[in-house]
Amino acid sequence: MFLVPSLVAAAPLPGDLDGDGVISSSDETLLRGYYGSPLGSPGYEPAADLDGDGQIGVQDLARFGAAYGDSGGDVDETPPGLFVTLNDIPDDMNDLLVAPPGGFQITLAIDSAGGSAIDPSSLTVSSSQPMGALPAGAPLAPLFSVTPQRAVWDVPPGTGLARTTHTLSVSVRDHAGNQANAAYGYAVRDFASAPPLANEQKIYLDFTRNRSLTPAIDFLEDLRAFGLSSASAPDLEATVRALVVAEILARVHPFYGRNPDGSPGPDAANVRFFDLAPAFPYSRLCVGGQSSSGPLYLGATSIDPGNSIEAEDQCIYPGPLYGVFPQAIDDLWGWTAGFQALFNPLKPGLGIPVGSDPLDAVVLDPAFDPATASAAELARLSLIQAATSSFAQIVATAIAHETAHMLGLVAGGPTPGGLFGGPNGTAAQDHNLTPLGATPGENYLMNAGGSFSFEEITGTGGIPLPVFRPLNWAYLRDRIVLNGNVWGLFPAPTLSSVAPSWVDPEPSALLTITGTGFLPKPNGAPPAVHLIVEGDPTPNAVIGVVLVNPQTITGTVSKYLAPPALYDVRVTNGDDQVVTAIDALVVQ
Amino acid sequence: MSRGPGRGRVAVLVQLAALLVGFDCGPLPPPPPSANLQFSTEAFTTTSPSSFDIGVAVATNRSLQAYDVEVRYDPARLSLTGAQAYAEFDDDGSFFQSGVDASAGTVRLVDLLHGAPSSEGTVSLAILTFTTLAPGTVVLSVDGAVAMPDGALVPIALKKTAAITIR
Repeated sequence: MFLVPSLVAAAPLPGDLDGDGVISSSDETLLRGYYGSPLGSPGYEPAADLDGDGQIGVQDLARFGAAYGDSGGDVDETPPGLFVTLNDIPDDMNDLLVAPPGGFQITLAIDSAGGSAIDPSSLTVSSSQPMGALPAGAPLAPLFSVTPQRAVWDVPPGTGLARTTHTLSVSVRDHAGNQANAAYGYAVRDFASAPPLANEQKIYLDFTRNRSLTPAIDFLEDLRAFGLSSASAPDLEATVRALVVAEILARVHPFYGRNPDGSPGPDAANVRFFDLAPAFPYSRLCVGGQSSSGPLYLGATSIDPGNSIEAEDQCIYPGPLYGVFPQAIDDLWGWTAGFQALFNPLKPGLGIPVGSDPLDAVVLDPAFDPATASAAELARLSLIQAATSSFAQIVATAIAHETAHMLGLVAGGPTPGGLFGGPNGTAAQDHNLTPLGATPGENYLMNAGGSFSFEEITGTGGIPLPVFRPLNWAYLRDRIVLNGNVWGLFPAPTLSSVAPSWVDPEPSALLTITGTGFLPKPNGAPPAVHLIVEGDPTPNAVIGVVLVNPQTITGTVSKYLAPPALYDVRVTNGDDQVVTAIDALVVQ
Repeated sequence: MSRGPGRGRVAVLVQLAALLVGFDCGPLPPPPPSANLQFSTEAFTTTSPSSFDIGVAVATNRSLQAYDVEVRYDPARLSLTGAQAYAEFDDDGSFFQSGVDASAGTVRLVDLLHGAPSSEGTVSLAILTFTTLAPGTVVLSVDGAVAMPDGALVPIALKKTAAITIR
């Protein structure tokens, strides 16, 4: 929920950081705390960025000084904006999210809404449920990393949150004393089995295959097609191939939060890429050639919902149907000015391919020293580097995209069962859609392949490289649970009685369970009821369960399914919340 | 083609009109904003051990409202023992912000005027007090930015240094 200020925003004096209508020493004290902070840094406060250039610096200080002593501005009575969510998932996608019992983020976005500066110390957060050792209602704000615009708490793995509905209550004030309040509810459930990326996902990028059945290896054909190498200069071709493969690896890892060498960054997904086969298990993705589906397919893989298959070989499908196919780059973007500027000077028939210019052996020599090079050598090197880097970036982007399909992106349908992926049979199948069914306007990595411009896929022309959208990133970080049974934020069911408490099924006996909050499944099926013997992991089903009303369930105990014993009675509600009555039934 | 008797006069008049039109009778446009960062002296000699003061100033053709400068020195030969905002650019007795990195040999000074800006010309910003540590030659350098009341930066045209010879 995003709280839109209910009052018409006042027009405080620029620099009136405490919103009292006067530019004074109290504002200067606040400004001192923000000085030098760039946009995105912990100290950045928009209200102090008087010229709005994304940096609180001497220009803002000068404006503040010139306005010092001004009075008569409106007193700020507008509360800040406050947005509470999980894992930075935006407002249009966070209506129904399911978190695991630990290992996710609670994220708050705070906006001074054009008014006075935010007072981060005023933040209060509490939860309707215990948070680990902290009881319900305990102050949680000290656990958050707080800046004027954002607050985050990484709920630790193993926190063991109750598998029910949790509601966060949050408030924050600005320095004028205006308070914003927000509440946000989410569900907590276990993963159906293991978290999808609990184990490191090793992706072997195979550049060695010749699936096109032409004389050369597919990836070498790609290099030649773009003028990045020549068959007539095999030594240089080997050099370029090694450089390009290394650069592809260096460029694909950052999509998954990793450093170019594959080591994890501060927020890394459990995915690593290799150009030589790593120890099993790993998944293999072939890179090179052209897709059997057509010249416009830069890549294709089979989606693995929930990443249930850790080792997939995408190279074995005939065609080749699956893989990353660099030759499509020309068919997709060869007409663009950006492509032509980079590749035409090298492409066969249009320019001089690498290996055909006498300078190439010089500039690609490992001992080449740009400091002592001629202008012609530097120009040739620049040409080669620009083309190989762009080629590597496009291939790396495609690899990152196709790998994400192999890991389960983008599951179709809304949360919590899906990730707002496009439905089967549509152009957007397995790709990002907005909740309204459109391709996102942002440059997201899992947007449909045909939606990328040359600038978007190469991160040029002032457009940053594509990224995973927050919902996809939360999935890749095992920070949300996909569970289509959760169809609302309901309180935990309770169980007050099981009657009779003693049965002698011959061959069966009717059981009546009373309590509160009993719910059907989304498809209308009743809750599941099981009888559990302490120490025995195998549940015994109660059959013929009928949800009479939210307070009553009936079912039948069969002597064939429930041998004589003392049982716990467990109800698994339609939204997968579980309630158990201990030692509630004796079967004779 | 023959030239008539009055044609030359007409030509002169046309040239005169052109001169009149081209002559700008209004005020000259102001020179572009410019500033030099400098010290109160460019060179002097002192002994070790001793202490000395040196001013940091800006010479500019605009009125200034705020500055953010950093002075670098050789920490092996000098120790900064004091930094004081200078009255010409100080109306509250202290810097807005200041910070010293003694190991790197830098001091950063930030200040603003509250209300009226500075006058144009050479304006002293701060007085630095150093203690000499060892003989040698030290070059003080200064870098930074100065801004006008509207927040626009005045381009720094020159960053003058000061050479201190320590005997």
